[in-house]
Amino acid sequence: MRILVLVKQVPDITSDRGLGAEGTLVRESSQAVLNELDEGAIESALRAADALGAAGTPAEVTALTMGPAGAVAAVKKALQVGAGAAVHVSDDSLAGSDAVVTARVLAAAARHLEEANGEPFALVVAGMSALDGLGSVVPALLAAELGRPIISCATSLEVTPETVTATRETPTGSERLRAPLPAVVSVSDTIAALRVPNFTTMMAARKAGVTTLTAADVGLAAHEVGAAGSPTRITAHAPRPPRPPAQVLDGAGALVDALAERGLLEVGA
Amino acid sequence: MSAQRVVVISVGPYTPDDALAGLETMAAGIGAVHTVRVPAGSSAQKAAAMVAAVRKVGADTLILASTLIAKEVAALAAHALGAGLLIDVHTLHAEGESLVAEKRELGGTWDATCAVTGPAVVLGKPLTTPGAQPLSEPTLLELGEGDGVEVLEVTAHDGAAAGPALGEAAVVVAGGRGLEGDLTPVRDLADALGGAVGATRDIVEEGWIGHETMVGQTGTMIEPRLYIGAGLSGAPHHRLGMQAAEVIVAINTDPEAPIMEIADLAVVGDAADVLTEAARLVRERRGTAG
Repeated sequence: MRILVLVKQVPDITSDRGLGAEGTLVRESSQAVLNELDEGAIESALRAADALGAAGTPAEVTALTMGPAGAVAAVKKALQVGAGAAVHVSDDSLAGSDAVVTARVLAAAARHLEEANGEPFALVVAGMSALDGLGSVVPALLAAELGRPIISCATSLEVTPETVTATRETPTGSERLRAPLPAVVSVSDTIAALRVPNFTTMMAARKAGVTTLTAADVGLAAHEVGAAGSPTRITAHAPRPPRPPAQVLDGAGALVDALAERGLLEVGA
Repeated sequence: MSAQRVVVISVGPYTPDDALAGLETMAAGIGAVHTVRVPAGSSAQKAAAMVAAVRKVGADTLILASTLIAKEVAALAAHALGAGLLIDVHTLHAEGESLVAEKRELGGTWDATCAVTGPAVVLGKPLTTPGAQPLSEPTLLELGEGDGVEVLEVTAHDGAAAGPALGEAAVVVAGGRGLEGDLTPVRDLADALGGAVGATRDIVEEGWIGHETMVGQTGTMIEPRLYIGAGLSGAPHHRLGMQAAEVIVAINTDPEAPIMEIADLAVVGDAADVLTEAARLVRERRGTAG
């Protein structure tokens, strides 16, 4: 069986992040890191492969990313901890893709790989959000694009050769959900810490290499992707003014006075 | 002169009245509004119900209140409708054929205006007024066709927190490691102010308080009128989740804590002592018994 894990290179949240001329995110490789939530996705995919292997159906993990040249680092990281294959969709025409188009490209890439492999990915695993846009919609859009069930924000996963069962938090409690394979899941950052590379996986990663695909390779024309193909667009953007230095108050009494002056004692329920 | 849109506002089984009222305020002036309520079920069943409602009234705009689960539902609905997604937006207005929205980006450090032409699914984060009453009585929908996901079990939290939901609260009082395991003072001030209780990821992981209180991108992203953070340093994940708040108050024994850099008001002192005393004074001023 095969498992696909989606990973993304994002600007480090502790760096000075900004939006560029087109209102899209400035993605400088020097400040880019693997989206932290994707560490749990990689680990979950590897554990799912281990569980399937233990159940007598060996499984291999493929890592997939989309982004500029530097984004290749994200799939390389997955290779270093045990993914068997890495794919990077990279094309100048993809710049400015919104969530709908991002999911369209990733789904097209997944289908392209499935045709080459002669079998579907039993499970697609993604992080529940990327720390740049925080949209959290790409995994469900991708599932819809592939016509497969989606379970988002899983805090635990059990994978068998036939099903995936997941737990997730809701605003009022928690849920247990089950879906038949092939399926798509996104995972919470609390699901599992990423294992460390070992000598064997590091050596295998060096040999594995990364497959690079263009939009045309996965069957998409330039007008279907990037800013051109995206239904949404950014029409204006500006940094918010920095907050002035804090006014330091002496104790609870002064704090409550300051809140009262600003009319903030009455805004609560 | 803007083209009139036809809007469906969809709320879930547990959506509070003030959240629906906030969505109605967002949709005001865009066009004709229909409100619907979907029962509990899988996300695909809810999305199919919303899509059927949109098609039935010939709507081009679907608005949901943004939560992580609503995002899953909205994505499925947007795909079925061939719609663009406007995510975590505060305001909406129509400009010619386009629907235009304002949102915050990069942890509240940037403002952006985004637009969609054609059908739209909107995940709204309206600024709600506590106790606001909706104008409409939503039509209850029947669940639609699922995608194979079965809901095996639904567990409610024991004694789900009283007070407003964290995501919609106008006031949030959040605690961190400096509370040393006892969140009573945080709950006390939140209760006095009519606010919700928040927490940092590390104290949730310590098991001091439930995951539903976690502020941050994998918990709840908040944008309250007033945020009070006590006994917490302001780690990047927490900051990302709260720095869009209008007024930020930090209470910490360490004047150099990162949270102090983004605070409007700061008190250097023991979190538990300051919170407890502030709660007493707030109750005096609000004339509510302690």
